[in-house]
Amino acid sequence: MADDNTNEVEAKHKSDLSPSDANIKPQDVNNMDEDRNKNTLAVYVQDTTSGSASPNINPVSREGTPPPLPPRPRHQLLEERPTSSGTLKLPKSGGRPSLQSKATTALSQQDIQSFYNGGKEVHSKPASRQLSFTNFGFGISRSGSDADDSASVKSFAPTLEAGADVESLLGEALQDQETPAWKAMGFRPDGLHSEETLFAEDPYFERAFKHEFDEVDEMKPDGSNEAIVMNQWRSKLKHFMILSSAGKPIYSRHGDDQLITNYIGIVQTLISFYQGAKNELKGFTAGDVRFVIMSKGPLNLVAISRLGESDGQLRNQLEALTRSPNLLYGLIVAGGRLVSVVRPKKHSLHPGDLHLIFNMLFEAGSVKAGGGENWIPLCLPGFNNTGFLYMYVSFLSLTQSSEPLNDRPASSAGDEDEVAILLISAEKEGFHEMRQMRDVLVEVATV
Amino acid sequence: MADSTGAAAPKPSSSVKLVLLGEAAVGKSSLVMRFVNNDFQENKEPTIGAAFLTQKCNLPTRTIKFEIWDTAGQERFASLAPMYYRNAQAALVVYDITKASSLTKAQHWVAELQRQASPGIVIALVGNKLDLANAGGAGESEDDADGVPDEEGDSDARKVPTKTAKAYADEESLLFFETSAKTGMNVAEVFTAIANAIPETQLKGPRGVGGQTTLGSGGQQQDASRVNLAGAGTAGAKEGCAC
Repeated sequence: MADDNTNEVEAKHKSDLSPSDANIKPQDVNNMDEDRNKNTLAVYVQDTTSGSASPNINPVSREGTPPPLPPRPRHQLLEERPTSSGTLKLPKSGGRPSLQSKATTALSQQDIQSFYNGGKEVHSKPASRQLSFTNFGFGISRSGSDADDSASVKSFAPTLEAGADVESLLGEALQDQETPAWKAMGFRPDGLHSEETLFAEDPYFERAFKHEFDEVDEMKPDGSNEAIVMNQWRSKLKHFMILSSAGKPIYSRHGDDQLITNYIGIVQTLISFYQGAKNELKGFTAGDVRFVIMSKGPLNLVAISRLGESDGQLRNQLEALTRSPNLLYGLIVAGGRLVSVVRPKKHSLHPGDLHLIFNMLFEAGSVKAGGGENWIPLCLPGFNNTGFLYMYVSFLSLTQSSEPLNDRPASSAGDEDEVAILLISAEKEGFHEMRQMRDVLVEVATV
Repeated sequence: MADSTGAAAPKPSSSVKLVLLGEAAVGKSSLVMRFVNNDFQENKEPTIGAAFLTQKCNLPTRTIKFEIWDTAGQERFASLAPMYYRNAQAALVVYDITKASSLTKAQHWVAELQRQASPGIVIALVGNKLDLANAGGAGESEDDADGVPDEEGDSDARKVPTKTAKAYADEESLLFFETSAKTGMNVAEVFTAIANAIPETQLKGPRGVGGQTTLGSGGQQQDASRVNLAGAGTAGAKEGCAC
């Protein structure tokens, strides 16, 4: 009987994941402590075409060495896209072999750089946001020009989180109209330089970046390692915090509540001071660090970054923090490559799983050919080999605005430049929620 | 024309959730593609899970927006079907006129729908691949009147006589059509007939019951199917999760 089967799968799945209450809504402040600490966002860029993209070391996920992804044919379209569009300019050759990736999604450094081909525009930033690593908390003094530092900081900036990268992705669709955020990124399409001069080595930054996704150590009960933990925490390049309007810590990207309480207190004081004056605090700069504050109902969200991102980018990232608990993985795929991943803190996306998804999308033609949207049950063995997840797939058209591809004749084959949004949920009934999420994502990306 | 859009006068518009069911390879996806995109693909690959498409259907007095769930016909996806037909206001049960067993499967689907789906669901029985049968739809029913299929000669691949299927459809009060997704014959007519058959009282606004919320049945079923992703971070990481 069909129904019985269904329930069995559900029950199994449920027991494998968690039996606890799933109905936590983002607005439910009381429940959010637990909830938010489990989820964070990390977005990685991956070029699945390059065989070198597989990491050997995986400090975050503690998994075994993942198998390398097989090479995928390169598509000319992406590489030869005119630079005037300023999107998705993936490099033709790996200019930099260093920097292991931090997640199983096999971050390849080349791609991050490539998204920042325009990153030389240090000077378009406000002067107050000059980036320097002399006060990085490493206790290492160094000589060297600040300009070099700035350039390399920018080039390494993993700014492609959440909405921001969607924007760059869909930039093609926008044709020549520059978006404000695009401008804010200081992107100048023709200002391409050779990678050698662009990405000057900066070992200090590299070291910091390398550890950016490491977890901060647990504080020992007696507090004996406080200084070390604090140092780890302070050396992070980017922080996100969520606190209630009353100042209660709800979420922090790094470290636990105990660790951040003091800072939350300061942030809360600043926010409420300006709120008291009926003059809401949106953001400020302290040294080389940019603070962006966003109020959302009873929540205050704070982004703290040394990575030279624009306020708009940081805001987009904060938006993405308040995503539905039903979303497990969010992926953006363009031209057969993974461009962006949103995932929970505790679950990296296993390369095998990713390969499986890609195979399904691009080798079996049925998903792509159908037009419209798909809701596909699938098992990602790397995530959980005893249960099903559900994948929402929507292919977006780059050529005709941002409308879903409902009207596209399915026979048109030259679709390697297609952008697909994949939203993976454990919620069997989550189709419409994922669908709305897609709409929001597209909206954010194109407005 | 069923798929024409944009009437000048604002007509009441409502969403109708429609599900396609039927054996694998009878042409469910092709029917939808013909209806939505007016396109046809040879050798289509099997659907995985389900595809969701929308298409408007203009009636003289109102506009129906079909929210179409095109389900996978393969048996291994059968257990997912309830998720798609739950709260559906209309169903297309498709069989292949060149394959007798597909009608049997279609009858099973009809029975399941009558048992499990919403009480007022409009069901259409659709025999697809009409292009493979001999031309001359009028002659068919006469020839098949004696109940012996496939007597019209070698070129006719028809295995299910129109009369047989029609009799069954009448018995169960189903709409009945024979279509060809390949030529487009009767495809729009099916959807128009369904749109007309949906009782006015069932129609809600575009955000009505039939549209947005219909994947979930509410109540117990929905709760049971929920999985706490947040909790998975702790419990799941240690036990069920292979990470």
